[in-house]
Amino acid sequence: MTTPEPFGARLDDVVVRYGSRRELVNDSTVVKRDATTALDGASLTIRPGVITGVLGRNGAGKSTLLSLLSAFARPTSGTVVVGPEGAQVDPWENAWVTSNVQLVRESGDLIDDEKLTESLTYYADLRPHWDADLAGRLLDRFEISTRTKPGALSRGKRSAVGATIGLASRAPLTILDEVYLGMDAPTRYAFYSEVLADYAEHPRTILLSSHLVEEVERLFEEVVVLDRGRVLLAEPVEDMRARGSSLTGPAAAVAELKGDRRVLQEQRLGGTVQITVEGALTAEERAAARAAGVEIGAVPVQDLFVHLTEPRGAER
Amino acid sequence: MSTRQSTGGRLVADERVQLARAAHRRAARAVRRNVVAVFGVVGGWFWAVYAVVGIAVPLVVSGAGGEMDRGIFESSAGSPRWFAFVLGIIVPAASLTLHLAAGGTRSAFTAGVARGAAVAGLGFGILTVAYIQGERLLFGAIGFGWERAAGLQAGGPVPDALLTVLTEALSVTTYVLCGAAIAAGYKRFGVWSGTALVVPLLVPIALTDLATRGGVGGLVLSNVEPSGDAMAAGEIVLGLAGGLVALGLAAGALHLLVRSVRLRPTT
Repeated sequence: MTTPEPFGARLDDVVVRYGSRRELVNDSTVVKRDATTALDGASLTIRPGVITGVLGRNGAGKSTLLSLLSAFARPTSGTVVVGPEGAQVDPWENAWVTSNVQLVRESGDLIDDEKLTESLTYYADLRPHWDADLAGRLLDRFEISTRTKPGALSRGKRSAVGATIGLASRAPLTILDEVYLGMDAPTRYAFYSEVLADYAEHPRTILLSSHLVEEVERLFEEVVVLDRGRVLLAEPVEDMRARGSSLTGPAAAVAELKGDRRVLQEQRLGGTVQITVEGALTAEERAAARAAGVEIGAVPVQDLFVHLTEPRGAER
Repeated sequence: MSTRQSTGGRLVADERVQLARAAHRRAARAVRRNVVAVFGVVGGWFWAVYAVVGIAVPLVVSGAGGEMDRGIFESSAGSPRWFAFVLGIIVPAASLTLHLAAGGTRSAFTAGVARGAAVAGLGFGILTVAYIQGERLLFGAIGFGWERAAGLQAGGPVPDALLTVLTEALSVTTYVLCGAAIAAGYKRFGVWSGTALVVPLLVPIALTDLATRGGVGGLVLSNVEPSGDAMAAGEIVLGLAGGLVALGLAAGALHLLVRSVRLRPTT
């Protein structure tokens, strides 16, 4: 079986509103107001053939964005196109696109009251690149019997089934939306290993959405951060890491190196202080830091993500 | 299967169209298989129980010295149709999300449900004829009079049987599609608007009942004007045409409701 060409995606000024409500206003007229704006003018390019982390606080619009790519939903306005470079089209009701995009949601999307094998057979029937051997091996690894009914599975086991479907579908665009919920640590780490191994063997585009940023950031090549329905940033993970620097050392030396930089985080232990500052250090500053005994470190993506998406009122 | 072209590694538009068609066919086939499998198993059980009741009731009535002036099939106002209607609600409601998650399109889902419903309808039509013949023989054996007051009748055992298969197939398919449309309506519009849609979605059911003189409509008509003997060819054609219109309405409603279903995020 030949590996299909990885899919990318592009969103232009996408707005998604869910539901509506009618309200009585002052002049006794009733107006229709939007109940929820999940995405508010989101524009973004997903590069094909890389693992991209999709980060955002609860309600930031991550799941909505991912559901647009898999044609689970349509934008209220704006455009969404999905496909290999040079052949990207609207995914809505396009069987070529939908059969090549696999979105695995936290809910699993299985038939609860029939044996798991029924759901897996359905996926296998529809997915052109389905790897039944891989599915079987992963289910063995996660200790899940295909004779079990999904409704009887624990949350962690159900998540493991979702992860199995995501990998075994070998879809050119594989989207894993919070599939690790409920998995215990050994299962999660086994899953991360499987993702990397399968990605190396069958390169494709993988989107990972997770709140466990610290755990999964090592997988990311690119990062998208959503905040209140908008795309805050979309860039290589190294660029994101370069948005901040960590300085650890004697308080006075660290304070001098900090200069006018904005401090994102600060921890103090006796005379030693560890701060995270905004922006990268110049070569001169690095040399000065070394001379002053200040250690320069990389900033975890999670710390930057927390800072970038901090509610406005909480900003320093 | 290879989807990568040797020329530049890119799929050309024609190949994408072909792959889309193949994907559509695969998806519609999977839905049809699912619908047929459920009707085969659950519908099979329904008919088994229905047959047992159909045999037991006349025997009990006969044993008690009573008599029945109408068979179970007509008295129950086409309960197999309503059973098919309920399955029509349940099966799509249970499988639409899985179908979309597995990469199927809404149009493939509609096509698969329609084909599955047609197969189920044909199966129900054949079983209806078998049941009616069995009921007629049983009634004769225990000394009860038996005649069909409902349904389109051509006058003659074989034409009648063929007409019954056809009208039941049309009607059951319509019932299944209406049930599926109701499920799609709830999925598309939520509880309140979905409930409001139930009434208009019962129109094709009423139409097929009246046109084919079966189900509740057939029971009502048979009380007013029993079918009795052979009908005029024009009347039969009109009935079949009415059944086809009802089927078209049900299929159209299903298509319209399914094509815009959105799956909201679960987190």
